[in-house]
Amino acid sequence: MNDLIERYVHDVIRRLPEKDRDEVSKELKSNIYDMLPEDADENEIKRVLRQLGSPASLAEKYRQKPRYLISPAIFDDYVRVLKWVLPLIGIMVLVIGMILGTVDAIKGGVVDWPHLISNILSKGIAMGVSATFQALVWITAGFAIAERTGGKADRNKEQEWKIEDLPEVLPNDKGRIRLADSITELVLIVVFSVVAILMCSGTLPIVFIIQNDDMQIRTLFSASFLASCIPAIAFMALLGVCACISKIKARRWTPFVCGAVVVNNIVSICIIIYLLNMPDLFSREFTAFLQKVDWGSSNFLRFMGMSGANVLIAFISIFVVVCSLTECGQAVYKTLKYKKS
Amino acid sequence: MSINEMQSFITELRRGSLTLAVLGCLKQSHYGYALLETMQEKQIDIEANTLYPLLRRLESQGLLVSDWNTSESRPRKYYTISEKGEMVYKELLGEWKKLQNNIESICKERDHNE
Repeated sequence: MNDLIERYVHDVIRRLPEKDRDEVSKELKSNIYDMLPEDADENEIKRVLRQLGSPASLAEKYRQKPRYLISPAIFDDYVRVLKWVLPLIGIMVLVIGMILGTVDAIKGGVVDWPHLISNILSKGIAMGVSATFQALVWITAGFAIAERTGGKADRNKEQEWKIEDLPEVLPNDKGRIRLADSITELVLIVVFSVVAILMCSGTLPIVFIIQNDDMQIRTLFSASFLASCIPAIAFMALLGVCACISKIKARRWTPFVCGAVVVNNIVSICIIIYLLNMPDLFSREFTAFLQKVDWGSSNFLRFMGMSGANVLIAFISIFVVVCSLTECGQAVYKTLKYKKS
Repeated sequence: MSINEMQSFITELRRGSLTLAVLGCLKQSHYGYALLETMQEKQIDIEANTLYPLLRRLESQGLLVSDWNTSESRPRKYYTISEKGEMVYKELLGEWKKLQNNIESICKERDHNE
């Protein structure tokens, strides 16, 4: 009979912080016994417990503040990020998975279509689904962190604010960094870096296919190049994540955020240029392939084939430099503009 | 309008004044259930599952002090208003009276115009 009361009280206090449990348990039990007549029977106990309501809702009232993983204030941003990042990553990784499935099947000597297709589909779907879940976890983690750090800062600001601090409605919005953008960036950095590291470590091989009489699969890059890529990618990812976190915390183009973005970009440019200009970038097989190809009578094509790789490297280098410098310039511009207004 | 909808308006209106009512009753020390009965005698409609957590909250805010009485057959926790609680009570009561006057004058004007 008293068992019911014990069970009810236990169900309430297990939802409370540890430090409150003993006291609430004692007090609640004493209150329940006070509400019961002497020698109460089971029906009377049930009546009183029903009057107190469900243990979950009573515990909610005992808890002083409502608890959120992601509060309503940023929930809209959260949904917006999920809505376009998840499909993007899902489809991207699905395609990568299908390519890998093809490579695996050819390597394994699978020739008949049904097997080939099932191999491609199963690999693609499995990787796509797991990547989508990964992205979901990281986005949620990012927002939960923002909830705990950013929210507090906002609350402190709420107490002491000046009329002059109110942002102007239109122009000053430029100084704002949308939470959705920063978290999207964070997730993309993490996912791309993980994929890139997997590629370099050989889990997802980067290959080219020679097709003469039969299909042959050869690795495109040299092992020494791939090995030095892994720490470089990890380091760049770390820098990128730091820059994103500074954006998430400040949510404005402050000088600190600007500095983080610029440092991140400059260091990344240096690392990428250094890597691209390593002497033994391509694998021996690929270099040999380039030399062996019959370019016909056209000298131009032969020239392009031999030095094409170098031209490509130069183009990629310039592209990386231009993109990164543009981002730095944008960051500085937005910071200056925000400071002025 | 459904009864539930009406009830939620009434609950909202009462919410703030419950603190005032509890502080008012606890000039004399009460244990939880006795306070519930006292308040219900005074026609203040409050549920047990609202009152007990409220007492705990007011205590943690320093408006009430509590003491376990173990001399009776079962231990009971007695709550009494604290010095800080007294101050808050007076302030709230003043505010309450002012609010009542203001609302009455608004409603009178309105009735007059109709």
